[in-house]
Amino acid sequence: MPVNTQPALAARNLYFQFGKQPVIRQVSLELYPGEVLAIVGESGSGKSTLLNLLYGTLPPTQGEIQATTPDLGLRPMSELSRQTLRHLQRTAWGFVCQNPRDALRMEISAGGNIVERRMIMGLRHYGQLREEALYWLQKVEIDPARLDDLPETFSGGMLQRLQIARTLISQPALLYLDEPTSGLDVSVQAALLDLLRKLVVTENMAVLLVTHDLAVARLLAQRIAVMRQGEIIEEGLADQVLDDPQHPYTQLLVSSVLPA
Amino acid sequence: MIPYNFAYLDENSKRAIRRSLLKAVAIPGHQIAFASREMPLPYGWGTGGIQITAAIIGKDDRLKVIDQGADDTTNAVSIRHFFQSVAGIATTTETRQASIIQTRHRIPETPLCADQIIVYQVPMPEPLFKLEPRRTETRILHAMADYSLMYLQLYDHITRYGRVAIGYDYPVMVHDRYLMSPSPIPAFDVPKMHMNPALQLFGAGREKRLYAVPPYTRVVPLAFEDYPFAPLQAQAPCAICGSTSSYKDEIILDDNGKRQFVCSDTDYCGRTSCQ
Repeated sequence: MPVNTQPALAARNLYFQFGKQPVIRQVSLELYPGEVLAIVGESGSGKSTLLNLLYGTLPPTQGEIQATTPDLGLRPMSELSRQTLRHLQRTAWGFVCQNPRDALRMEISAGGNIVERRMIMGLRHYGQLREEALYWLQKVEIDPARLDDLPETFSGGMLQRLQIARTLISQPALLYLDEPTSGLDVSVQAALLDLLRKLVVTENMAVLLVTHDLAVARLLAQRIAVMRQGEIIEEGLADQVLDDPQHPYTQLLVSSVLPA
Repeated sequence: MIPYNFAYLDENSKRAIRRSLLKAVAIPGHQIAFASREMPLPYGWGTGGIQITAAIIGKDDRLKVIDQGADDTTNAVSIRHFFQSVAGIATTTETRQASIIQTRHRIPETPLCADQIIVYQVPMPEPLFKLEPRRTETRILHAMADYSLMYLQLYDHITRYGRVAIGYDYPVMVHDRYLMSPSPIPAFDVPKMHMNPALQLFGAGREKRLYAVPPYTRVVPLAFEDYPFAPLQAQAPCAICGSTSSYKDEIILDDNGKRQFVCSDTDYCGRTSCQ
Protein backbone atom coordinates (compact mmCIF):
# COMPACT_ATOMS: atom_id res chain seq x y z
CA MET A 1 0.00 0.00 0.00
CA PRO A 2 1.35 3.47 -0.84
CA VAL A 3 2.71 5.14 2.28
CA ASN A 4 2.60 8.86 1.60
CA THR A 5 -0.58 9.11 -0.46
CA GLN A 6 -3.89 10.26 0.89
CA PRO A 7 -6.71 7.77 0.53
CA ALA A 8 -9.40 8.64 -2.03
CA LEU A 9 -12.06 7.37 0.33
CA ALA A 10 -12.05 6.69 4.05
CA ALA A 11 -14.92 5.48 6.20
CA ARG A 12 -14.79 5.10 9.94
CA ASN A 13 -17.20 3.18 12.13
CA LEU A 14 -20.22 3.31 9.86
CA TYR A 15 -23.61 2.27 11.10
CA PHE A 16 -26.83 2.34 9.17
CA GLN A 17 -30.31 1.06 9.81
CA PHE A 18 -33.58 1.01 7.91
CA GLY A 19 -36.07 1.77 10.67
CA LYS A 20 -35.15 -0.68 13.42
CA GLN A 21 -33.36 -3.06 11.07
CA PRO A 22 -29.59 -2.66 11.31
CA VAL A 23 -28.05 -3.00 7.84
CA ILE A 24 -24.47 -1.79 8.27
CA ARG A 25 -22.57 -2.38 11.50
CA GLN A 26 -19.20 -0.93 12.41
CA VAL A 27 -17.74 -0.77 8.92
CA SER A 28 -14.41 0.99 8.40
CA LEU A 29 -12.40 1.02 5.21
CA GLU A 30 -9.86 2.97 3.21
CA LEU A 31 -9.39 3.11 -0.52
CA TYR A 32 -6.33 4.50 -2.32
CA PRO A 33 -5.90 5.90 -5.83
CA GLY A 34 -5.06 3.23 -8.40
CA GLU A 35 -6.52 0.52 -6.23
CA VAL A 36 -9.53 -1.76 -6.66
CA LEU A 37 -11.26 -2.92 -3.50
CA ALA A 38 -13.88 -5.61 -3.96
CA ILE A 39 -16.71 -6.06 -1.50
CA VAL A 40 -18.11 -9.57 -1.69
CA GLY A 41 -20.81 -11.33 0.28
CA GLU A 42 -24.18 -12.97 -0.05
CA SER A 43 -27.22 -11.03 -1.13
CA GLY A 44 -28.73 -9.07 1.73
CA SER A 45 -25.38 -8.65 3.46
CA GLY A 46 -25.47 -4.88 2.96
CA LYS A 47 -23.08 -4.50 0.02
CA SER A 48 -25.22 -2.17 -2.06
CA THR A 49 -26.34 -0.18 0.97
CA LEU A 50 -22.69 0.34 1.90
CA LEU A 51 -22.01 1.55 -1.63
CA ASN A 52 -24.90 4.01 -1.40
CA LEU A 53 -23.58 5.31 1.93
CA LEU A 54 -20.11 5.78 0.50
CA TYR A 55 -21.46 7.51 -2.61
CA GLY A 56 -23.47 9.94 -0.53
CA THR A 57 -26.95 8.87 -1.65
CA LEU A 58 -27.77 7.63 1.87
CA PRO A 59 -26.61 9.35 5.06
CA PRO A 60 -25.10 6.97 7.65
CA THR A 61 -26.87 6.69 11.02
CA GLN A 62 -23.47 6.96 12.67
CA GLY A 63 -19.85 7.26 11.60
CA GLU A 64 -17.89 9.43 9.22
CA ILE A 65 -17.08 9.21 5.53
CA GLN A 66 -14.36 11.25 3.85
CA ALA A 67 -14.14 11.34 0.08
CA THR A 68 -11.77 12.97 -2.36
CA THR A 69 -12.73 16.25 -4.06
CA PRO A 70 -10.80 17.84 -6.93
CA ASP A 71 -10.24 21.19 -5.22
CA LEU A 72 -10.08 20.52 -1.50
CA GLY A 73 -8.71 16.98 -1.23
CA LEU A 74 -10.28 14.62 1.27
CA ARG A 75 -13.47 16.12 2.71
CA PRO A 76 -16.02 14.82 5.21
CA MET A 77 -19.10 13.97 3.18
CA SER A 78 -21.51 15.27 5.83
CA GLU A 79 -20.04 18.77 5.44
CA LEU A 80 -20.69 18.98 1.70
CA SER A 81 -23.72 20.99 0.58
CA ARG A 82 -26.34 19.16 -1.44
CA GLN A 83 -25.26 21.09 -4.50
CA THR A 84 -21.56 20.26 -4.10
CA LEU A 85 -22.35 16.62 -3.39
CA ARG A 86 -24.51 16.36 -6.49
CA HIS A 87 -21.84 18.02 -8.61
CA LEU A 88 -19.15 15.68 -7.29
CA GLN A 89 -21.36 12.65 -7.91
CA ARG A 90 -21.83 13.75 -11.50
CA THR A 91 -18.24 14.76 -12.28
CA ALA A 92 -15.45 13.77 -9.87
CA TRP A 93 -17.02 10.46 -8.85
CA GLY A 94 -18.76 7.81 -10.89
CA PHE A 95 -21.32 5.13 -10.23
CA VAL A 96 -21.94 2.20 -12.56
CA CYS A 97 -25.07 0.36 -11.56
CA GLN A 98 -26.18 -3.16 -12.22
CA ASN A 99 -28.98 -2.24 -14.59
CA PRO A 100 -27.71 0.22 -17.24
CA ARG A 101 -31.29 1.24 -18.05
CA ASP A 102 -31.49 2.91 -14.62
CA ALA A 103 -28.55 5.17 -15.42
CA LEU A 104 -28.89 5.83 -19.15
CA ARG A 105 -31.31 8.22 -20.79
CA MET A 106 -33.07 5.86 -23.14
CA GLU A 107 -34.67 8.64 -25.22
CA ILE A 108 -31.33 10.38 -25.92
CA SER A 109 -28.82 9.10 -28.51
CA ALA A 110 -25.80 7.05 -27.40
CA GLY A 111 -23.50 10.00 -28.14
CA GLY A 112 -25.62 12.36 -26.04
CA ASN A 113 -25.57 9.88 -23.18
CA ILE A 114 -21.80 9.69 -23.30
CA VAL A 115 -21.18 13.46 -23.26
CA GLU A 116 -23.72 14.45 -20.59
CA ARG A 117 -21.04 14.74 -17.91
CA ARG A 118 -18.90 16.97 -20.13
CA MET A 119 -21.89 19.32 -20.48
CA ILE A 120 -22.33 19.35 -16.70
CA MET A 121 -18.64 20.32 -16.54
CA GLY A 122 -19.46 23.25 -18.82
CA LEU A 123 -18.31 22.18 -22.28
CA ARG A 124 -20.50 24.02 -24.82
CA HIS A 125 -18.84 23.14 -28.12
CA TYR A 126 -20.82 20.65 -30.21
CA GLY A 127 -17.91 19.61 -32.42
CA GLN A 128 -15.70 18.82 -29.46
CA LEU A 129 -18.49 17.03 -27.61
CA ARG A 130 -19.00 14.85 -30.63
CA GLU A 131 -15.31 14.08 -30.95
CA GLU A 132 -15.15 13.02 -27.32
CA ALA A 133 -18.29 10.92 -27.67
CA LEU A 134 -16.75 9.09 -30.61
CA TYR A 135 -13.47 8.58 -28.77
CA TRP A 136 -15.17 7.00 -25.77
CA LEU A 137 -17.52 4.92 -27.86
CA GLN A 138 -14.49 3.37 -29.51
CA LYS A 139 -12.70 3.03 -26.19
CA VAL A 140 -15.51 0.78 -24.92
CA GLU A 141 -15.37 -1.09 -28.22
CA ILE A 142 -18.74 -0.15 -29.67
CA ASP A 143 -19.00 0.33 -33.44
CA PRO A 144 -18.61 4.11 -34.14
CA ALA A 145 -21.50 3.84 -36.60
CA ARG A 146 -23.83 3.42 -33.61
CA LEU A 147 -23.00 6.90 -32.23
CA ASP A 148 -26.37 8.43 -33.06
CA ASP A 149 -28.54 5.39 -32.32
CA LEU A 150 -30.89 5.28 -29.37
CA PRO A 151 -29.75 3.04 -26.50
CA GLU A 152 -32.97 1.08 -26.95
CA THR A 153 -31.45 -0.55 -30.03
CA PHE A 154 -28.39 -1.75 -28.04
CA SER A 155 -27.87 -5.18 -26.50
CA GLY A 156 -27.48 -5.62 -22.73
CA GLY A 157 -23.70 -5.82 -22.90
CA MET A 158 -23.48 -2.77 -25.15
CA LEU A 159 -25.72 -0.82 -22.77
CA GLN A 160 -23.41 -1.66 -19.89
CA ARG A 161 -20.39 -0.55 -21.93
CA LEU A 162 -22.24 2.63 -22.84
CA GLN A 163 -22.86 3.28 -19.15
CA ILE A 164 -19.18 2.81 -18.45
CA ALA A 165 -18.18 5.22 -21.24
CA ARG A 166 -20.68 7.76 -19.99
CA THR A 167 -19.28 7.51 -16.46
CA LEU A 168 -15.59 7.44 -17.31
CA ILE A 169 -15.64 10.42 -19.68
CA SER A 170 -15.30 12.80 -16.72
CA GLN A 171 -12.27 10.75 -15.56
CA PRO A 172 -13.62 10.26 -12.05
CA ALA A 173 -11.07 9.91 -9.27
CA LEU A 174 -13.44 7.62 -7.44
CA LEU A 175 -15.46 4.93 -9.17
CA TYR A 176 -18.18 2.75 -7.69
CA LEU A 177 -19.16 -0.41 -9.53
CA ASP A 178 -22.30 -2.17 -8.33
CA GLU A 179 -22.36 -5.64 -9.87
CA PRO A 180 -21.23 -4.31 -13.24
CA THR A 181 -21.13 -7.67 -14.99
CA SER A 182 -23.97 -9.69 -13.51
CA GLY A 183 -26.68 -10.59 -15.94
CA LEU A 184 -24.29 -10.59 -18.89
CA ASP A 185 -23.16 -13.66 -20.76
CA VAL A 186 -19.64 -14.89 -20.10
CA SER A 187 -17.95 -13.66 -23.27
CA VAL A 188 -19.34 -10.14 -22.82
CA GLN A 189 -18.41 -10.33 -19.15
CA ALA A 190 -14.82 -11.20 -20.01
CA ALA A 191 -14.54 -8.38 -22.54
CA LEU A 192 -16.00 -5.91 -20.07
CA LEU A 193 -13.69 -7.00 -17.25
CA ASP A 194 -10.73 -6.74 -19.56
CA LEU A 195 -11.79 -3.23 -20.51
CA LEU A 196 -12.34 -2.15 -16.91
CA ARG A 197 -8.96 -3.52 -15.86
CA LYS A 198 -7.25 -1.55 -18.62
CA LEU A 199 -9.10 1.67 -17.76
CA VAL A 200 -8.42 1.44 -14.03
CA VAL A 201 -4.71 1.27 -14.72
CA THR A 202 -4.60 4.02 -17.35
CA GLU A 203 -6.87 6.46 -15.48
CA ASN A 204 -5.41 5.79 -12.00
CA MET A 205 -8.82 5.63 -10.37
CA ALA A 206 -9.77 4.39 -6.94
CA VAL A 207 -12.42 1.73 -7.52
CA LEU A 208 -14.89 0.19 -5.14
CA LEU A 209 -16.37 -2.95 -6.69
CA VAL A 210 -19.40 -4.68 -5.27
CA THR A 211 -19.92 -8.19 -6.55
CA HIS A 212 -21.09 -11.59 -5.50
CA ASP A 213 -18.91 -13.19 -8.15
CA LEU A 214 -15.56 -14.19 -6.63
CA ALA A 215 -13.99 -14.71 -10.05
CA VAL A 216 -14.70 -11.08 -10.95
CA ALA A 217 -13.24 -9.99 -7.63
CA ARG A 218 -10.08 -12.04 -8.18
CA LEU A 219 -9.62 -10.66 -11.67
CA LEU A 220 -10.08 -6.97 -10.89
CA ALA A 221 -9.33 -6.37 -7.24
CA GLN A 222 -6.10 -6.11 -5.29
CA ARG A 223 -7.97 -6.22 -1.99
CA ILE A 224 -11.15 -7.97 -0.95
CA ALA A 225 -13.50 -7.27 1.93
CA VAL A 226 -16.02 -9.96 2.85
CA MET A 227 -19.34 -8.78 4.22
CA ARG A 228 -21.88 -10.70 6.19
CA GLN A 229 -24.93 -9.37 8.00
CA GLY A 230 -23.74 -5.79 7.66
CA GLU A 231 -20.24 -6.34 8.95
CA ILE A 232 -16.87 -6.74 7.27
CA ILE A 233 -15.78 -10.08 8.66
CA GLU A 234 -12.56 -10.47 6.74
CA GLU A 235 -10.36 -8.16 4.73
CA GLY A 236 -7.05 -8.63 2.98
CA LEU A 237 -5.17 -9.02 -0.28
CA ALA A 238 -7.30 -10.68 -2.93
CA ASP A 239 -5.19 -13.83 -3.31
CA GLN A 240 -4.80 -14.15 0.42
CA VAL A 241 -8.54 -13.97 1.10
CA LEU A 242 -9.43 -16.31 -1.73
CA ASP A 243 -6.64 -18.87 -1.26
CA ASP A 244 -6.33 -18.89 2.51
CA PRO A 245 -9.65 -17.73 3.97
CA GLN A 246 -9.64 -17.42 7.76
CA HIS A 247 -13.27 -16.80 8.68
CA PRO A 248 -15.59 -19.82 8.47
CA TYR A 249 -18.04 -17.86 6.33
CA THR A 250 -15.32 -16.86 3.86
CA GLN A 251 -14.22 -20.50 3.71
CA LEU A 252 -17.78 -21.47 2.89
CA LEU A 253 -18.03 -18.74 0.27
CA VAL A 254 -14.78 -19.73 -1.43
CA SER A 255 -15.58 -23.44 -1.38
CA SER A 256 -19.05 -22.83 -2.83
CA VAL A 257 -17.66 -21.58 -6.14
CA LEU A 258 -18.49 -24.07 -8.85
CA PRO A 259 -15.40 -25.26 -10.68
CA ALA A 260 -15.41 -24.03 -14.26
CA MET B 1 -76.12 43.14 -14.51
CA ILE B 2 -74.35 42.34 -11.22
CA PRO B 3 -71.78 45.03 -10.63
CA TYR B 4 -68.27 43.60 -10.73
CA ASN B 5 -65.35 44.94 -8.76
CA PHE B 6 -62.97 47.00 -10.92
CA ALA B 7 -61.16 44.59 -13.27
CA TYR B 8 -63.32 41.58 -12.25
CA LEU B 9 -61.20 40.21 -9.35
CA ASP B 10 -61.78 41.44 -5.79
CA GLU B 11 -59.15 43.74 -4.30
CA ASN B 12 -57.64 41.10 -2.01
CA SER B 13 -57.14 38.64 -4.86
CA LYS B 14 -55.50 41.33 -6.96
CA ARG B 15 -53.25 42.25 -4.06
CA ALA B 16 -52.21 38.61 -3.57
CA ILE B 17 -51.27 38.36 -7.25
CA ARG B 18 -49.33 41.64 -7.08
CA ARG B 19 -47.44 40.32 -4.08
CA SER B 20 -46.40 37.25 -6.09
CA LEU B 21 -45.47 39.53 -8.99
CA LEU B 22 -43.13 41.53 -6.73
CA LYS B 23 -41.42 38.32 -5.76
CA ALA B 24 -41.19 37.31 -9.44
CA VAL B 25 -39.59 40.63 -10.38
CA ALA B 26 -37.11 40.25 -7.53
CA ILE B 27 -35.97 36.84 -8.83
CA PRO B 28 -35.89 37.18 -12.63
CA GLY B 29 -36.98 34.05 -14.49
CA HIS B 30 -37.90 32.12 -11.34
CA GLN B 31 -41.37 30.57 -11.29
CA ILE B 32 -43.49 31.78 -8.38
CA ALA B 33 -46.54 29.85 -7.22
CA PHE B 34 -49.71 31.89 -6.94
CA ALA B 35 -53.34 31.17 -6.04
CA SER B 36 -54.74 31.17 -9.56
CA ARG B 37 -58.42 32.16 -9.54
CA GLU B 38 -61.31 30.75 -11.52
CA MET B 39 -61.82 33.03 -14.50
CA PRO B 40 -64.84 33.24 -16.80
CA LEU B 41 -63.01 31.46 -19.62
CA PRO B 42 -61.39 28.01 -19.94
CA TYR B 43 -57.81 27.19 -19.00
CA GLY B 44 -55.58 27.54 -22.02
CA TRP B 45 -57.36 30.65 -23.25
CA GLY B 46 -55.26 33.07 -21.25
CA THR B 47 -56.46 32.81 -17.64
CA GLY B 48 -52.95 33.47 -16.32
CA GLY B 49 -52.43 36.54 -18.48
CA ILE B 50 -55.87 37.94 -17.65
CA GLN B 51 -55.29 37.59 -13.92
CA ILE B 52 -51.98 39.46 -14.14
CA THR B 53 -53.54 42.19 -16.27
CA ALA B 54 -56.46 42.45 -13.82
CA ALA B 55 -54.04 42.73 -10.89
CA ILE B 56 -51.93 45.54 -12.38
CA ILE B 57 -54.43 47.54 -14.47
CA GLY B 58 -55.53 50.99 -13.29
CA LYS B 59 -58.20 53.41 -14.42
CA ASP B 60 -55.71 55.41 -16.56
CA ASP B 61 -54.26 52.41 -18.38
CA ARG B 62 -54.71 51.78 -22.06
CA LEU B 63 -54.83 48.09 -22.96
CA LYS B 64 -53.80 46.32 -26.15
CA VAL B 65 -54.44 42.60 -26.57
CA ILE B 66 -52.90 40.50 -29.31
CA ASP B 67 -53.23 36.86 -30.25
CA GLN B 68 -50.60 35.55 -32.71
CA GLY B 69 -49.70 39.18 -33.36
CA ALA B 70 -53.21 40.18 -34.46
CA ASP B 71 -55.60 42.54 -32.66
CA ASP B 72 -58.68 41.22 -34.43
CA THR B 73 -58.61 37.49 -33.62
CA THR B 74 -61.34 36.02 -31.41
CA ASN B 75 -59.22 35.66 -28.30
CA ALA B 76 -57.81 39.19 -28.53
CA VAL B 77 -61.21 40.75 -29.19
CA SER B 78 -62.86 38.84 -26.31
CA ILE B 79 -60.20 39.69 -23.74
CA ARG B 80 -60.14 43.35 -24.81
CA HIS B 81 -63.90 43.47 -24.56
CA PHE B 82 -63.79 41.73 -21.18
CA PHE B 83 -61.62 44.46 -19.67
CA GLN B 84 -63.66 47.17 -21.33
CA SER B 85 -66.77 45.88 -19.60
CA VAL B 86 -65.35 44.99 -16.15
CA ALA B 87 -62.86 47.85 -15.80
CA GLY B 88 -64.17 50.45 -18.21
CA ILE B 89 -60.62 51.23 -19.33
CA ALA B 90 -59.51 52.52 -22.69
CA THR B 91 -58.19 50.11 -25.26
CA THR B 92 -56.06 50.48 -28.35
CA THR B 93 -54.57 48.43 -31.14
CA GLU B 94 -51.54 50.70 -31.48
CA THR B 95 -48.46 49.33 -29.75
CA ARG B 96 -47.07 52.81 -28.97
CA GLN B 97 -50.35 53.99 -27.39
CA ALA B 98 -50.71 51.03 -25.01
CA SER B 99 -49.52 51.06 -21.40
CA ILE B 100 -50.28 47.35 -20.95
CA ILE B 101 -50.03 44.78 -23.75
CA GLN B 102 -51.40 41.32 -23.13
CA THR B 103 -50.12 38.83 -25.66
CA ARG B 104 -50.34 35.27 -26.79
CA HIS B 105 -47.53 33.88 -29.00
CA ARG B 106 -45.92 37.17 -30.16
CA ILE B 107 -43.97 40.25 -29.14
CA PRO B 108 -44.98 43.34 -31.17
CA GLU B 109 -42.57 44.41 -33.91
CA THR B 110 -42.63 48.01 -32.66
CA PRO B 111 -39.99 48.27 -29.91
CA LEU B 112 -41.45 48.56 -26.42
CA CYS B 113 -40.73 51.51 -24.11
CA ALA B 114 -39.85 51.87 -20.43
CA ASP B 115 -43.39 52.95 -19.48
CA GLN B 116 -45.00 49.82 -20.93
CA ILE B 117 -45.75 46.41 -19.43
CA ILE B 118 -46.13 43.31 -21.56
CA VAL B 119 -48.12 40.38 -20.13
CA TYR B 120 -47.58 36.95 -21.69
CA GLN B 121 -50.11 34.12 -21.59
CA VAL B 122 -48.20 30.95 -20.74
CA PRO B 123 -49.54 27.41 -21.16
CA MET B 124 -46.55 25.59 -19.64
CA PRO B 125 -44.20 27.62 -17.44
CA GLU B 126 -41.71 24.78 -16.82
CA PRO B 127 -39.09 24.76 -19.62
CA LEU B 128 -37.86 21.28 -18.62
CA PHE B 129 -41.26 19.58 -18.56
CA LYS B 130 -40.75 17.59 -21.75
CA LEU B 131 -37.45 16.22 -20.45
CA GLU B 132 -38.30 15.72 -16.78
CA PRO B 133 -41.99 15.25 -15.99
CA ARG B 134 -41.58 15.36 -12.18
CA ARG B 135 -42.14 18.84 -10.74
CA THR B 136 -40.25 17.90 -7.58
CA GLU B 137 -37.24 17.00 -9.72
CA THR B 138 -37.31 20.11 -11.94
CA ARG B 139 -37.42 22.29 -8.83
CA ILE B 140 -34.18 20.68 -7.68
CA LEU B 141 -32.64 21.19 -11.13
CA HIS B 142 -33.58 24.90 -11.04
CA ALA B 143 -32.29 25.27 -7.48
CA MET B 144 -28.96 23.79 -8.53
CA ALA B 145 -28.92 25.60 -11.88
CA ASP B 146 -28.35 22.21 -13.50
CA TYR B 147 -29.50 22.63 -17.10
CA SER B 148 -27.35 19.95 -18.74
CA LEU B 149 -30.60 18.16 -19.59
CA MET B 150 -31.62 20.98 -21.92
CA TYR B 151 -28.18 21.06 -23.55
CA LEU B 152 -28.54 17.31 -24.05
CA GLN B 153 -31.72 18.04 -25.96
CA LEU B 154 -29.93 20.64 -28.12
CA TYR B 155 -27.13 18.12 -28.77
CA ASP B 156 -29.61 15.54 -30.02
CA HIS B 157 -31.38 18.13 -32.16
CA ILE B 158 -28.15 19.05 -33.95
CA THR B 159 -27.27 15.38 -34.32
CA ARG B 160 -30.65 14.49 -35.75
CA TYR B 161 -31.69 17.58 -37.71
CA GLY B 162 -28.41 19.45 -38.23
CA ARG B 163 -29.68 22.44 -36.24
CA VAL B 164 -31.59 23.22 -33.07
CA ALA B 165 -35.08 22.58 -34.41
CA ILE B 166 -37.02 24.50 -31.78
CA GLY B 167 -39.29 26.94 -33.60
CA TYR B 168 -41.21 28.35 -30.63
CA ASP B 169 -40.91 28.34 -26.83
CA TYR B 170 -37.12 28.45 -27.23
CA PRO B 171 -35.39 27.95 -23.83
CA VAL B 172 -33.62 31.05 -22.52
CA MET B 173 -31.34 31.86 -19.60
CA VAL B 174 -32.53 34.87 -17.62
CA HIS B 175 -30.01 37.03 -15.78
CA ASP B 176 -27.46 34.19 -16.16
CA ARG B 177 -29.28 32.17 -13.53
CA TYR B 178 -32.68 30.64 -14.34
CA LEU B 179 -33.72 28.68 -17.39
CA MET B 180 -37.06 30.10 -18.51
CA SER B 181 -39.78 29.35 -21.00
CA PRO B 182 -40.40 32.54 -23.00
CA SER B 183 -43.98 31.27 -23.57
CA PRO B 184 -44.78 29.91 -27.04
CA ILE B 185 -43.49 32.95 -28.91
CA PRO B 186 -41.48 32.14 -32.05
CA ALA B 187 -37.72 31.81 -31.62
CA PHE B 188 -37.61 34.85 -33.93
CA ASP B 189 -39.00 37.02 -31.10
CA VAL B 190 -36.63 35.83 -28.37
CA PRO B 191 -33.91 38.47 -29.03
CA LYS B 192 -36.52 41.19 -28.37
CA MET B 193 -36.70 40.04 -24.74
CA HIS B 194 -33.02 40.74 -24.13
CA MET B 195 -32.39 44.09 -22.39
CA ASN B 196 -35.94 45.17 -23.13
CA PRO B 197 -36.86 48.49 -21.43
CA ALA B 198 -40.41 47.26 -20.70
CA LEU B 199 -41.41 45.10 -17.74
CA GLN B 200 -42.27 41.57 -18.92
CA LEU B 201 -44.71 39.49 -16.87
CA PHE B 202 -45.73 35.87 -17.50
CA GLY B 203 -48.84 34.13 -16.18
CA ALA B 204 -49.83 30.47 -16.33
CA GLY B 205 -53.34 30.09 -14.89
CA ARG B 206 -53.77 26.34 -15.08
CA GLU B 207 -50.28 25.67 -13.75
CA LYS B 208 -50.68 28.37 -11.07
CA ARG B 209 -47.29 29.92 -11.75
CA LEU B 210 -46.12 33.38 -12.69
CA TYR B 211 -42.70 34.81 -13.43
CA ALA B 212 -41.11 38.01 -14.69
CA VAL B 213 -38.26 39.59 -16.60
CA PRO B 214 -37.55 43.05 -15.17
CA PRO B 215 -36.56 45.88 -17.55
CA TYR B 216 -33.02 45.73 -18.96
CA THR B 217 -32.39 42.10 -17.99
CA ARG B 218 -30.16 39.68 -19.87
CA VAL B 219 -32.21 37.05 -21.74
CA VAL B 220 -29.96 34.68 -23.65
CA PRO B 221 -31.15 31.73 -25.74
CA LEU B 222 -29.30 28.45 -25.13
CA ALA B 223 -26.82 27.51 -27.84
CA PHE B 224 -23.49 25.85 -28.50
CA GLU B 225 -20.36 27.86 -29.30
CA ASP B 226 -20.15 26.36 -32.78
CA TYR B 227 -23.95 26.29 -33.33
CA PRO B 228 -25.11 29.79 -32.35
CA PHE B 229 -28.77 30.67 -31.91
CA ALA B 230 -30.24 31.01 -35.42
CA PRO B 231 -34.01 31.44 -35.63
CA LEU B 232 -35.68 30.84 -39.00
CA GLN B 233 -36.59 33.86 -41.11
CA ALA B 234 -39.49 34.08 -43.52
CA GLN B 235 -38.48 33.42 -47.14
CA ALA B 236 -40.20 36.49 -48.62
CA PRO B 237 -41.15 40.08 -47.71
CA CYS B 238 -44.69 40.81 -46.49
CA ALA B 239 -47.17 40.67 -49.40
CA ILE B 240 -49.12 43.60 -47.92
CA CYS B 241 -46.55 46.06 -46.54
CA GLY B 242 -43.33 44.73 -48.02
CA SER B 243 -41.53 44.52 -44.68
CA THR B 244 -38.47 42.26 -44.72
CA SER B 245 -37.69 42.48 -41.01
CA SER B 246 -40.97 41.34 -39.45
CA TYR B 247 -42.21 37.90 -38.47
CA LYS B 248 -44.53 36.45 -41.14
CA ASP B 249 -47.51 34.13 -41.28
CA GLU B 250 -47.43 31.75 -44.21
CA ILE B 251 -50.75 31.58 -46.01
CA ILE B 252 -51.61 28.88 -48.53
CA LEU B 253 -53.66 30.47 -51.32
CA ASP B 254 -54.84 27.61 -53.52
CA ASP B 255 -54.76 23.86 -54.01
CA ASN B 256 -51.53 24.09 -56.00
CA GLY B 257 -49.59 25.14 -52.90
CA LYS B 258 -49.26 28.78 -53.93
CA ARG B 259 -48.25 30.67 -50.82
CA GLN B 260 -47.99 34.16 -49.49
CA PHE B 261 -46.18 35.66 -46.50
CA VAL B 262 -47.82 38.45 -44.51
CA CYS B 263 -46.87 40.18 -41.26
CA SER B 264 -48.27 38.45 -38.18
CA ASP B 265 -48.29 41.80 -36.33
CA THR B 266 -51.38 43.51 -37.82
CA ASP B 267 -50.75 46.88 -36.16
CA TYR B 268 -47.19 47.05 -37.50
CA CYS B 269 -48.25 45.88 -40.96
CA GLY B 270 -51.07 48.46 -41.15
CA ARG B 271 -48.81 51.35 -40.29
CA THR B 272 -45.92 50.26 -42.47
CA SER B 273 -48.14 49.96 -45.53
CA CYS B 274 -49.67 53.42 -44.98
CA GLN B 275 -46.30 55.15 -45.01
